[in-house]
Amino acid sequence: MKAKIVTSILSIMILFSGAAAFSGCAEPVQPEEPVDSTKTQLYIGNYNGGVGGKWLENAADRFEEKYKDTCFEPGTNKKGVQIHIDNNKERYHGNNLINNLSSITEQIIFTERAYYDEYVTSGKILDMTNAVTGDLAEVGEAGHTIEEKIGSAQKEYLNRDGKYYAVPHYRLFSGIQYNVRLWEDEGYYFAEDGINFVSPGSTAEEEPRSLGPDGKTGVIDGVDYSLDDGLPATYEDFFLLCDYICETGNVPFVWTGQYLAQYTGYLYWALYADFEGAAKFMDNFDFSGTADDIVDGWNEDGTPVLRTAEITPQTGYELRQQLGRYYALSFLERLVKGNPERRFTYYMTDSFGLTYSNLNAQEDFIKSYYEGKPIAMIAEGTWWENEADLENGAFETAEHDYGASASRENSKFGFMPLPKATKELVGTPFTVTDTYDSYILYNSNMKGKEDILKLADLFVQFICTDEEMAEFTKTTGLPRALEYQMSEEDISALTYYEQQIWNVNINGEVVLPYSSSRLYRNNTGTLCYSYDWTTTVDGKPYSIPAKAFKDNGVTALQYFNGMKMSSSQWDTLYSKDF
Amino acid sequence: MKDLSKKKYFGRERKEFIFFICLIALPLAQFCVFYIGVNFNSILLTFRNYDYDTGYSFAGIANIVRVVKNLFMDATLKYAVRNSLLTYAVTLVVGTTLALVFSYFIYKKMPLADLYRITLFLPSVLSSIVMVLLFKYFCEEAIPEICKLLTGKEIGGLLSSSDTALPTLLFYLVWTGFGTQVLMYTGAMNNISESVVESARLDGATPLREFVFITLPMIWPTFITFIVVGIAGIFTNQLNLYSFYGTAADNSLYTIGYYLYRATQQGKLPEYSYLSAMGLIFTLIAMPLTFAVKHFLERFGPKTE
Repeated sequence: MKAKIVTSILSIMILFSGAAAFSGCAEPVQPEEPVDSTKTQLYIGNYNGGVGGKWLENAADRFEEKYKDTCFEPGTNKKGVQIHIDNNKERYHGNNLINNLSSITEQIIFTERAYYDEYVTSGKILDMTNAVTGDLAEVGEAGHTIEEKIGSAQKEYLNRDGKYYAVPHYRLFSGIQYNVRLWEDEGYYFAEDGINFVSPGSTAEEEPRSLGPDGKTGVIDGVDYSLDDGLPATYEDFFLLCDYICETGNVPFVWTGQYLAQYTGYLYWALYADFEGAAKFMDNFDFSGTADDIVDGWNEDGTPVLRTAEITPQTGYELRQQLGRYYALSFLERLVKGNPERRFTYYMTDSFGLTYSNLNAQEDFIKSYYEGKPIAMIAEGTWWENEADLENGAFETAEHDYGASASRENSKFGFMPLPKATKELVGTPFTVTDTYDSYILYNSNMKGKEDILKLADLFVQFICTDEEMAEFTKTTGLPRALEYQMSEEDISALTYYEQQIWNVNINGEVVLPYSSSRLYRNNTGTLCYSYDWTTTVDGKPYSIPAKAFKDNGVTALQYFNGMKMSSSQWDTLYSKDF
Repeated sequence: MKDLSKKKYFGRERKEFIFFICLIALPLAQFCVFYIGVNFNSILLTFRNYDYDTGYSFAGIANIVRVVKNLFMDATLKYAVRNSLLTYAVTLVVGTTLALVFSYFIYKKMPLADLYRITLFLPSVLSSIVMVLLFKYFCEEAIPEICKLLTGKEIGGLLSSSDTALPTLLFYLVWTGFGTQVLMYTGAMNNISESVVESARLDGATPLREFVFITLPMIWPTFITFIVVGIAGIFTNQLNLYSFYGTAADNSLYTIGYYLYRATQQGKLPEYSYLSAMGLIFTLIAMPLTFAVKHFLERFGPKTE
């Protein structure tokens, strides 16, 4: 009898463990807000890393209010809409989302790092053409469509036989962020002569500053060129500045050691793109064009011997010897190796520690200013202020510990236009890349639900109006990945840092690595930025330049030479997609 | 009466059979889908290519040729093969030897045997990700701090410095691998007949002779199991790289297991054919090797007769 009872209990336990496992697979995510059955329900999933979810909650509130009297389900008594938002970093990250789409209730998804081709061919997302090409009259922009706000390269890429399956969401740029207050306090700006530094505490009016990497100042044709005044114009200037920062007892740079490969990777991609400019940099994605700066060797004086190469899918390997890559590596080598003669190290020692996260680096960057050993710059992306604020509460604790001036609103950080590799390049446009594949998608669980689809179209159109996109930028500090204008008033509502990002978005050359090339589309895993910096020096492979420079004494030239790929190796890897 | 009890017997047997089916249905279904199905699909994929525009097409042995060619050209792959073999060699020579020694210590209830048992088995009890985190912080934070305190010299973290990363990872692999091995070996040792051991002792056998001539032959089947399972896993062992570094481990640390896992994570559908071909090639290398080693050890290993 006793054995029977035990057997029964065990059987029930096993049964329930199985049931739990199955339900775990299929259980829809239930929103916390109770369902109001008098309203049409719309479920939205949002990847909230970096940009957070506040902007969406605000937009949803405005949408609900605007359409509170509209009936979206004819034949029912429902009026208005209730929007449920699920913010989640794991579930809606592009890498995971594709596996989750079939089991979630969310109908509209805001995601990042979603590879468009994969999603389109998976059949798990729906056509959004009606939202993209439909007139925006219903949301207050009659005579306009979302399609006309999408850039031409994006449009060409997203359009599949006349259909759109995604709407670009936001733009993120990576590069160097700096503490403007520290620059002002310590006089880290270059003086008008471009050689000396201004006096500590001096203003631009008191002591004019150098022209910066754009080579211009003042407002020309409505564009403010003064934002980069006094910033290092060339790599040489940059490392002079690093020496000066060390002389004043401060730390020039910090980055995360936990994600060393990624964050330093973002930096040399940014340097590489800025050196090459948008057109030549795009060769890496569309494998079509002429590259006139392929390194063929080096002269005795250290200058490169260059040649021109036609870039096609068959000759893509040539781009691994593009001059911009060498300059990006040389910049990083100097940053990592510092100034051995003067025994200056340019980075915070934790920057190579495996437990030093991006949040740690952000917090140190923010707080160090008040703790007696300020860090001047951080290698980060434009999302960092949001991330430090929303995920780590770094600004809140800084404000608590050091007073109101340390709050996010009162802090003053800048997005540094990258210095140019040579003096000759000063004045060329600042080129930035957005490689984050951020999209708005429709889950195929809306298939056949015409009323809900119409509502989803309306919501997407609503958040793509200029007014709503400006609201997005004001809340997150980041630009949407569509073309729109912000009023002077809107811009003035942004923090100093956010204004700089907006300025780069409007006036810089933004490279969007959207390519219709068969070679690129079928090989993103190996042709994307992470793999593309592998090298072999003396038979040993390296993939993280910063580490190779620091631990193994590899030089930028060795690293660059080792990146060379033979045409036969290229053929072996990619000839199936030529 | 006889018929009734027979009926009762078969009724009970039927119930037991149903219970048994219920018990194994889920794991069996999982095995079919996630092992047989996945492997079968992977083998098929080796001979096909995928294109986002045209879908699947027959590729013949093109992917296998690509992998073989690349094995001779790609330094990362060469290092991955080297590290995979090194990992196996270290776990075999250092790991197995130490596991046997510690197991013998515990079996013989030598001083501190219980401490050994707990220390060696602890990594297997704790969640692997917890162990990885503890070890990571110990290597990255505690060791440099201790070194600074003792010598005044600043050193980097053991896992983040190129010079120390591989030895540290190997140490971790060996250490965390002790738990299962020690458990199995001590279990096998405890089954050795006390009379055999007693008789050896009466004959004047030293502990070392007892270990070599009594214990080892008696646990030989368990020993073979570990060696053979290790060989079968040479090209799937990740050296815990993903747990420590995510997808961003330095190329010089790669093993084939990590290379394949990472590439599958990073890659997309059109790239899976190449990876499937690589998986198949390494399976074809590991499979005969596994059987050969098993045969060799069974044939030439110590006998208990």
